[in-house]
Parts: sequence; C-alpha cells; structure tokens
Amino acid sequence: MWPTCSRRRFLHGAGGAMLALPTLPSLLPRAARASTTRDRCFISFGTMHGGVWSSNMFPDDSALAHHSTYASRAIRQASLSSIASTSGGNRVLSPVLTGDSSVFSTRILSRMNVIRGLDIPWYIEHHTGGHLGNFASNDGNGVDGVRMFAYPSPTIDQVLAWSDVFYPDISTVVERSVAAGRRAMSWDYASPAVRSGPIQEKYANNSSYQLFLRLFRPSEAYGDLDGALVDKVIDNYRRLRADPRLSSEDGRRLDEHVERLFDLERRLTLEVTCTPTFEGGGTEPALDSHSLTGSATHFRDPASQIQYWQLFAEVVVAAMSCGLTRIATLNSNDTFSDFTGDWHGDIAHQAHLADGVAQAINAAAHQRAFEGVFLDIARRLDEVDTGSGNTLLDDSLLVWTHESGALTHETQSVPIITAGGAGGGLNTGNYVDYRDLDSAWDIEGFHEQGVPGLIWNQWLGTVLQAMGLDPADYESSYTGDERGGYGPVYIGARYGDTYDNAIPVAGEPLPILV
Amino acid sequence: MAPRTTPLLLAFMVGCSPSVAPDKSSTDPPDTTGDGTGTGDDGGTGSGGDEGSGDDGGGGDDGGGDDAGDCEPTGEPTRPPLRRLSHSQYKNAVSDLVSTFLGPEIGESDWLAYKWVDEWALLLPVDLPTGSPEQTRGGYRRLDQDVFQQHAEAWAVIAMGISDEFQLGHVWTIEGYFEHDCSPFGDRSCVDRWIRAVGPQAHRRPLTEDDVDHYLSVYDDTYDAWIADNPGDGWQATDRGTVAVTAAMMMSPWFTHHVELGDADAGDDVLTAHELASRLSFHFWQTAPDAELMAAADDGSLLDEAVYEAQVRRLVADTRTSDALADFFDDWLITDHIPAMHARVGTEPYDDFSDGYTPSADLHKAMAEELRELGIWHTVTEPTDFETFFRSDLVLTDHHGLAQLYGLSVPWSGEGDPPVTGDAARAGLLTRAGLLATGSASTRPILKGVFAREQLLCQPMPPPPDDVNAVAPAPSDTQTTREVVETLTEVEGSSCEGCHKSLINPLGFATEGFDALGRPRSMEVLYNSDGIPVGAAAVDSQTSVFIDGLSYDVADAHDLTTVMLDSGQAHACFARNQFRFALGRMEHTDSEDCTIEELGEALASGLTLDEFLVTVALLPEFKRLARPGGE
Repeated sequence: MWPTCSRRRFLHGAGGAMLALPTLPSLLPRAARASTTRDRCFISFGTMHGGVWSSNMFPDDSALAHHSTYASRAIRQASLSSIASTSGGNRVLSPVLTGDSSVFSTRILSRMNVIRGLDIPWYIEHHTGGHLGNFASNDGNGVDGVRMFAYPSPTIDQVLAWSDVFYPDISTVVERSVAAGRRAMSWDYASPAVRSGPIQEKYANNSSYQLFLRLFRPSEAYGDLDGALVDKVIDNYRRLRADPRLSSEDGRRLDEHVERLFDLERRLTLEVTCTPTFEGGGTEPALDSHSLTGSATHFRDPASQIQYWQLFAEVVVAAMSCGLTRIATLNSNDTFSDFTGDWHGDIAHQAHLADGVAQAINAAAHQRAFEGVFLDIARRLDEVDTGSGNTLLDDSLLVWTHESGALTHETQSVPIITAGGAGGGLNTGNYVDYRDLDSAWDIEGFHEQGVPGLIWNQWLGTVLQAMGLDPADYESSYTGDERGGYGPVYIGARYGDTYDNAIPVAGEPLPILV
Repeated sequence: MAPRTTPLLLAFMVGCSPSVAPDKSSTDPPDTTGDGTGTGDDGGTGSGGDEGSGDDGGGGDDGGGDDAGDCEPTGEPTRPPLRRLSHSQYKNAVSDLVSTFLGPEIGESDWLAYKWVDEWALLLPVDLPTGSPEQTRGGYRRLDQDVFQQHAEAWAVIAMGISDEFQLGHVWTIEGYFEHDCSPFGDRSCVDRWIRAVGPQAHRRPLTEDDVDHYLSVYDDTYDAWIADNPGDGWQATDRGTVAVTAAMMMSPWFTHHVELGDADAGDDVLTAHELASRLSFHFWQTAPDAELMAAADDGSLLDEAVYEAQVRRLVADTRTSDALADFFDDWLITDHIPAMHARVGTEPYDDFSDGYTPSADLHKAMAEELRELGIWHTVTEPTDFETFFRSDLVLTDHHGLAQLYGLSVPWSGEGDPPVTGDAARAGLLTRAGLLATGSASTRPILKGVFAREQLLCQPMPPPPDDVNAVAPAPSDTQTTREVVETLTEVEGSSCEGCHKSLINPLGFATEGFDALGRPRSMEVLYNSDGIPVGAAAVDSQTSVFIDGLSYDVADAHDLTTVMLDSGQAHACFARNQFRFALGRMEHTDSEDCTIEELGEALASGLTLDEFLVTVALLPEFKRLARPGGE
C-alpha cells in the first residue's frame, strides 16, 4: 500500500510546478514481462584477507578434467560428489571446505559450486566493495586502487534490490536488502529509488535483534508515528524545497531524504503476520549479536564470532522465508581464530611463508568460517520448504568470497564458494577452474604460481543473470564499461596483455555454471 | 564520496621484495570509460616541494602539502550540499531542545541519558572519519555526510520516543512553560503561542507565519483525528496534538540539517545572523545556539564585527568547547587506531618484552584519553602556543598503568597542576605513548613515519607501487627493527626506496628510542622465532629527515620535534586540520591555501591555541556561504 502522500504528488510540487528530477523508473509503465523466476534470494558472505593456499582452499587439482575450450584456455570441471570424501564424521572437499557431515550433507554438497579462476585483474589491495562490484571502495594503497576511486558503482546486491525484475512487487517486502556486520560490503546511490546522488556505503546492522525488529515489527519502533504525521514532515521538506534560495545540489539532498521518508511511511503501513519460530522456541531471537561484541574476548573467540553470524543468519533466513526481504550481505572482519596477536601483520601477511605456520592458522580460521557460517546459512535455507519439491536453498544463491586469493592482496583466483541454484538460474554440484594454465608466472617468495583466470566482472554479471536479470537490466546501472559483465573493466598495467582473452567474453555468463 | 578509513588502513607494512606480477612489458591497459588517461601514473598526490616526488601539491581537495609558494587565490571553495547534523551535534541539539520543550529537568535527566545509551545509540548511524576522496587515512567524523534510511528512521524514533514519553504531560508542561498564564487545553491560541515560543529553537531561526500555520495544521489534524475517534476527549486530543507538533519540529529539515540559504539581500555568499549563530554554536559546542547567541541573531547584532567577536570569545571560553576539541584531537591523532595493549599478555616474547609491566585491557583507551586531554589542556584549560603543546611534557592521565609508562608512580588526580614526565628522552607529542605503542613487542617505524608525514606535516603519501606485496617486517634475532625495515624497504634501486628512505622511515626511526609500549630505551632486545630473548642491540635513532625539500640530520625525537617546528610545517598542518574541522569540509587548495598558510604563520609566531580558535572563527571563510558542490 503506497503512502497517501505519493511520489507523484510530491514531484508535481507546490503550485503545480514540476520539479526537475530524473525520470523515475518506478513511475514508468512497466513492460509486460512474463516472470519465469521463482522468488530468488541472494546472500553474500564476505571475509577479510584471504591468503589461503590453493592446496588448502580448493579440492585436489587431479580431480579436474578438461571440459571445454573457452576464451583460449581449457576450462576444467569436476563433480563435487565425485571429489568429496568423508573423514572422522566430516565431509571433505579440501582442508578448508570441511564440515560435519550432518550439516555438510550430500544434499548440500550437490547444491554447491567451488569456483576457481576469477580474478580482479588489478591491484586492489584492501577492499570491501570488490566482492560485489564497487571497486572504488578500496584503500588506495596502490596506483590502481587510487585510479578506481573515480568509478564508484552500486554493488550487484543493490542492482538486484532496485530491479523491477527481481522485485516486481514490493508490497509485502519490508526491506529490499539488509546488510549485517560492523561495516557493509554493499554500496548504492544516496537516493536509490531515483538512482541519483553519490555512491555511499549501505548501513550495516551490528545488532541482529535490531534487524529482527526492522524486519518483523517494522511499524512498532516508531511509537505513535503514523503516516499522517510523516505526510506533514514531507510537507515541511517540500516547503524548504520550494525556497528559491535553495541550490539545486541542496535540493537534490532534500529529494533524497524525502525518498527515505516515503519509505518510512511505507514501513508504517506494513503488517507482518509471518511468525517464524526462533531458537529456543520463541517468537523472537533469544540473543542479540551486539551483546557478543561487548565482550572483551569476542574478537579472539571464534565460537563467539561464529555465534554472532549465526544470530544474523537466523534472522535473515527467517525473514527470507517470510518474504520480508530477499537480499542480504554479511561482511565479516572477524578472524574466526583465537590468535591474540596482530592478525593482519602476523597471519595474513605471513601466510605465504613456506614454513606454513601462519598458513595453518589462517586455513583453520577459514575452515571455521566455512563450517560455522557458510554451511549454517545453507542448512537454514535448505530447511525452508518452498513447495514443489524445492527449498529456499534451491531458490537462492549463497556466495562466499574472500578479499584476496592465495596470496594476501593478490586477487588471482579469489575463491568463490556458492550454495543454491538461484531458482534454476545456476547449475550446481561443480568444481570449476577457469584459469589459463598456459599463462602462469612465477611469484618470488611464494610456492604457487600466478595464473590468470577470467575477470571478476564476468562473475558479477553471471550472478545477476542467474538471478533473472538481462544484461540490459544492469549494464546502465553503473558508471562503467560497455565491455560486459558488471562494473568498470580495468586491467592493471603490470598484467599487460595477460587478460586479452578474458575481456571479450566478460559479458557472457560463465560456462558450466549457466 | 570520500572512501572511508578502516582499521586496516594501517597496512603500511611494506615489504617490496617479492614480485607478484607476470613478467610483462609495461603497456597501457585498455581504456575503461574512454578517458584515455592510461595507467595510473597520476597516483602522485605527492606533496609539493618534497624530495624527489616532482608532483604538485594537489589541486581540489586533496589537502596538499603545506609548502610556501605563490599565494594568489584562484577559484572558489565549495561546500558539501545540505549538511546534516553530525551524530554528536544531533544528540546535543536534541538534549537542548528537550530542555526547551519539556524543561531542563528532563533535558538533563538520567532518563534521556539512558535512552541514548541503551536504545538510540544503535539506531542512529555513527559517523566515520571522512576526508578527501584521495585520502585513505584520517579524516573527521563531522565531515561524514552520508545519510541512510536509518537516519530518517532514527530521527523519527527519537522524536516520537521523546514526545511520547511525556504524552500525558504535554498540556501541563505547556501550562508550566507559560507559568499557567495559558493552557492549550481548550485554547488553540495558546498552542499558537507555544509554537511561536519553542519553534525558533527547533528551527534555529524565527518562525515565519507559514511555519506557524504548518505546525498549527499538524496540531489541528492530530487533534481532529483523535476527537473523531474519541468524541469529547479534548484533553487527550490536546496532548496528542502537541506531541505531534513536538515530533514534527524534531523531524523537520531545519532541525536535522544545517540549512544555510544565505541573505540574498546582502549578497550571494552572506550568511544570515541566525545561520551564523548556528555555525558558531555547532562548531564550538556541537549544539544549537543558546539563548544569548540567539538573541544576538534575533536583533541582528551578531552581524556586527565586535559583537560577533565577543560571542566567539564567549563560546571558546565556555567548557562546552572541550567536547568539540576532544573530537578534533581524537580524529586528528587517529586515536581509535591505538591498538589494545593486553591482547598478547601471556605470550612470548610480549611478556618478556613487557618486563614485569602488565598492560591492562583499558590502557589503549587511557592513551587515547591522554592525547585528548593534552590537546584540551593546552587549548582552553591553560592555553599555550602550539610549540608548547607540541613539546609538552605534561602527563594528564589518572590511569596508573599509563602514568607508569611515563615514569610516574602516581597519576594525576585531576586537580592542580598536572605532573610532568620524568623521562628526559620525552620530546612531546611525538613521544606520547599512544603514538608509539603497538600492542606487540616490536615498534613500527613505518607506521610512525606515515602518521608523522600525513597527520603532523600534512603531506599525503603517494600510493605504493602496484608490485608491492605488503609483508610485515618479521622480528629478527640478529637485527633491530630499524635494521629489518631498512633491509626490506631501502634496497638501492628498488621501487620502495624512494618513498621509504626519504619520506617515511626517517620520521619513524627518530623515535626508536622508545619501545613498543612507549617506554624510553637505549637497547632493543632481540628474540628468536620462539620468542626467547637471544641478545640485545643498541637502538639507533639517528637519521636524516626531509621536510619541505630540505634534509635535516636528527639524533633523536628531540631533534625531530625541533626540526618539525622550525620548518613551520607542523604549525601549518595543525592550522590546515583546524580549518577543516571548523568549516566542516576540506579546504579548497587553490583559493584557501593562502589563508591556511597565514594561519600557520600566526601559530608559528606564538599565537595561543585559544586565540587561534578565535582567529579561525573570525575568518571570512568561516562566515561565508560557499557555493555547494558535489560530494
């Protein structure tokens, strides 16, 4: 139900004057498009640093067999079910991809993909935005990173969030997307409804209970606030908007905020009748994630860190099962380790050393993240029956990505672990390797070679297509590039012509997966 | 928008030896958006005048180095459009407004304080340190202008939460406000009168008749809606109506944002008296103008230079300025990056290195507080000039553990004159524990050097080369930390040498006479890979530092402090940072570097820091309405 003070009335302004705003896609007649998609959900889980040796991260190479020639390389594939083994009650794909068989079941396994050979082909160093396509969100500790500051983009979760294809009807949706953690990995326009304003980081919820309230009790947080009062507040903004002394830039900021008030008004009218059962049998979460972070030991207690994310997973999956949201990003800067020193200096940047001491700690931490967070989310999704023989996991795409590849800050073969078939949009059960093994180079001081893969933009485009979008739905969504995939395509100077074969195919969905 | 700083930005542990790129000839990459600029060799944000960079000091808002040069302002500064109140400003403004609406006993009540801590803190997004788009470290929270959906909702929740809490008391509160000379119950004219009385504080300007009509319509609509459902219940209807007015005022853009439209009659860039009053108050006190400042705005006298200056001085002298100064020193000195000191207690070599001293869990917080208090003390408590602050040996901490690090057996009680450190090696700000301690057994000369270069000399570092592989200098059983860093980063002809040898490392080496807890030392214990001490080596803090294009030999932190002060760059950098903080934006280097240079010179001439605050607020730039630009 739309608020009484509609966008149309506001846009036509006081005295009937038309306000100069960009065309609002939501006001255009919607093209009749037969939807063949189920209500797909997207969850992205990102972890810091990476630096996990390939031998720890990926299944054994010997399992891979030539699948086809693509982009001038032999891409290789293996069935996960043929690779996995069991050991001591665990199901094992690799040292990191190991989990208790009761959770890491054959069913979950069959719905996973292990993807190797997608690269961010320039020096991005520390970043939060690279996972989902805002490459500008990096620390600028490199010429390439500084260069990319000029190309901020919404992340793909936000492209989905504001897509009429992904969300043809938001009448029962409380939040188009949610972000969890202490910082977000999600970026969008300051005024997402009209796709205008600067690209800014999305607000991240550090409290799973607050997130629960936002999703399940959206109108209860505001006391006696009602739509009529918000209408009056919007009127007040409109009066200021009409002031002739107001600059156009100031006016844009006002317009952005009015959009937020419209959304607030919408939330006041929402009545959520879905009442899932939470852990312990209650109608709300028994514990708040934020309470864990107050402990002085949380940041070196992997069990507490895992619990933090499981509390979010509980709320997110419950909300998705109720259709209250369909997109969530979980950005973790936890170590998932009891290491008490400086993780960044003592582990992440020592993990390449041949003695393997730091690597062992690093790999173990990533295994905990896999088992405690990734598999937990997959399990929860798979426990939701959506009918017709499917579960929410079948209808969803859960993605785990690292900040770096096998060598911290280098972004060849950044691991991508997925679960879920995206409602039929993605094939599952595969270990795929897109690297061009004939173009490898030696890395001084590191036992692994650098091997170029396909570019990250192609992976992002594949996700968007798997979730039901056509390239035309998203290629205009960013300040970017026409060469395909999602986001600006840039190849760092140090790579020369290494990725020349990968660029022409960047707009195609990844073979084997789609 | 400016990228956010994160704790991991201190990843300047550069080791440059491994080559991680394929052996390819350097070619321009494919163009991205057709700008045709090729590869990123524009990464030079190098400071003008420093050794070997050859780049200019940066145009736009990159905060270029404080070099002398031609000072002919060109162009015009821009401001971020329609700035919202910062987190601190909003919180304080709400508290003050509540005092107006509901009485000071409520505005200063435990209830309100409790609500902020227990409920609303999680709702209202925190501000993050924000600087220029190219700046990846430091920045000021009050420059954060991101607005989220959560801001709109938090403002609504807080407004309604406050209004609702006293729902059944609004009528009485209003009666009390007017000393029972009027009651809104049954008397709409009293509501009108109340709106006119309290509305100006919410709007921070006089209400127009249009404003009054608007809020009366809020009252009427709410009143009528309640009566329609509850005939005859005038009391509740009146209460709810006034509650709605309270909430609507607190949610209005004039309350939640710094609305600056200027005085069109006086010129394009002239602020009105009320806008000026708000600027002053939100800068110095981080809250709305008080009654005296509003009165000066109401009668226009604030536009008189003498009255304006008197008000500036009054604000500076008030204790409320300390809170804003605390924020300034926190952000300028990046105190939130001071690591916890207790994480490695119980491990080697940390326990051996600590040598009987056990860092507490709150030591890093005490270090941060000490830095804040130092700044506040020298600025407003016992104002001194900048040099005295920079060289200060006062120890303003009540934390026993921190006092011990300064050689004091008893911390300061907070009364009387603060003690001075007993360490002759201390050289002021550069040797404050919070700027030296690392939370490990090893010092970090590179991080110290980057901090000094960027935060204390305002010379942004160019980004590392793309082939860098950031590897932390590993502790050595044969080399001191300095020697390890030199071995890694100063290899002749390497891509690391240029910046590390000239810009970064020397600034860090000069304070190697202090260990990783900030204690003075002459020897560095060497540990093997098991954390077992295997020897010791003499600390070497002699080095050559480049400042403003000149090389200076320094023996220790004292010499470095002197060099930084004598160059004028430390003064100029402080001035630049104060300028940013005061104006709530990055400086426009083309047009405002001259002003900042003059401010630096004033500091160098001995101007006390409180007078410096006054000077900044007297600048034409502070009183001018810049044209809005992009984020």
